[in-house]
Amino acid sequence: MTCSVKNDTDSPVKVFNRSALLARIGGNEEMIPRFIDMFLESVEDCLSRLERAVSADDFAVVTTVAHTLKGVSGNIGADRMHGVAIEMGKCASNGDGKGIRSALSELRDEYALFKATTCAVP
Amino acid sequence: MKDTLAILAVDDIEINLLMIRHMLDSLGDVEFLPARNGREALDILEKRHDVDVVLLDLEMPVMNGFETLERIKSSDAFRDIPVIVITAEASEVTRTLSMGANDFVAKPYNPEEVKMRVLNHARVKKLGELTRDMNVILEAEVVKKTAALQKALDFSRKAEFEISLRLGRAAEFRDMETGMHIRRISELSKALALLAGISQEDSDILRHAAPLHDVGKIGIPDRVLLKPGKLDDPELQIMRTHTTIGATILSEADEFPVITAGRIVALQHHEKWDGSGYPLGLSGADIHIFGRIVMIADIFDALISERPYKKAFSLEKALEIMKEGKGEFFDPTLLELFLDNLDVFLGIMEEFKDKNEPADSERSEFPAPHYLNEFPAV
Repeated sequence: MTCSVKNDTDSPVKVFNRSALLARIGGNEEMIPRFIDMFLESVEDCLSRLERAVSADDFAVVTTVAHTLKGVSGNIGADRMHGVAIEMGKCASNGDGKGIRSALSELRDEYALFKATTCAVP
Repeated sequence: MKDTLAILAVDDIEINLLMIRHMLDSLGDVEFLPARNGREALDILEKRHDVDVVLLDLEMPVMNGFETLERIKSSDAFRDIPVIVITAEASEVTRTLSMGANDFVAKPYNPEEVKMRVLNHARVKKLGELTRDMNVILEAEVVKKTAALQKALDFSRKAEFEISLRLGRAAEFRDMETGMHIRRISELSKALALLAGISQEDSDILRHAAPLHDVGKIGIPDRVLLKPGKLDDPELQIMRTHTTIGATILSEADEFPVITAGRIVALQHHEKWDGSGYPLGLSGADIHIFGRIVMIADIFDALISERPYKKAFSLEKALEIMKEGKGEFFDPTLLELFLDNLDVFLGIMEEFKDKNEPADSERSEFPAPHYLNEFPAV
């Protein structure tokens, strides 16, 4: 089950693009829970690193971690998180301290949303 | 050529590796080799020589993607393995392509695209291997065919030599019945040439050409050639023309080294070191060394062999006669070489000696060779 949340543009960016994920894992339904678990672990790790990097205005680390997050969220189908990660990356390369803080906050929100969505998925 | 595709995927994020594994599963016969970083990737490549495609992420700790790519593409062993870089940044695309990356795919993975690209590159690699295999097979074929060709060439040369011998025999048929004489002259000349420091190749040419030295006798009328007694002066003059006749027969054959050498030998094998020879009265080193060599061989053979018109001289007698001719008939250096290596030449005489002795009754019918008249001791 996916939870579509409308964003500013007309086309809905999904919280969880399940069908895209399924295609990427060769249609193996039964692997989805495992993938989601691994993703969540990955995000926890990224978030804690981001907490430290953002508060220290370490733009280099923010860029790297945002890049990683972009990759995994894109692949798992967490499209909204994916979008925020891209934003964060842009802010970091521009040296935008305010921007990365704002992005981090958004990231946490989207993460919570994703967890809620996928917890409901068998 | 194996059918299983061995695919090496390099990414520090485990979930990515797992995803690629499942994505590629649907390709069928795939062996998935995961690596967490460049170091691990290179280790796998070292162990496995059959990796067909590498999927390479760029952002990795412990040897990142760029360095890994560099290592792979600069190695003779791994250079030909296609590397598909996982990236979406335009700058990374051009940079990695210029470093030798074969292709790129973006994240998030488009599964169909990833599979297609992997298959494409695997196919290209297999074709490359097939080409290399074909080359190995073709090279083996070339070696075989070359050997066969060499055999044919060797046989051709042998045939050429045989023809030369027969031609020589034909020329001498009327006034000499021993075919082995021609063969002996040929082998004696080659042996002396090698001892005189002439190259293997040129000595072989002389071996092939020496049989032709008396081919000019074809032009000498019977009344002179077959006269039993001593020749008077006009008859001697005619006889001596067998040198120039032979040279004419063998002339204008510049592209054939054996015939050119034959021409020299035919023309000069009666020139004497002191200039009293014929047809041109050349002296010393003006006489081509081929001519000087064949002269020694010819005379030695005549002295030491049993002939219908004379008995064989003993070795001591023959050598005594030849020593008397040193500096007069013979090139002193060549004669010394000859005398110092007598065992070689005696070996040849023995190996190619005449098989059939002429019957006593036939002896007187054959004339003595005219040049033996010129030896005082004969």
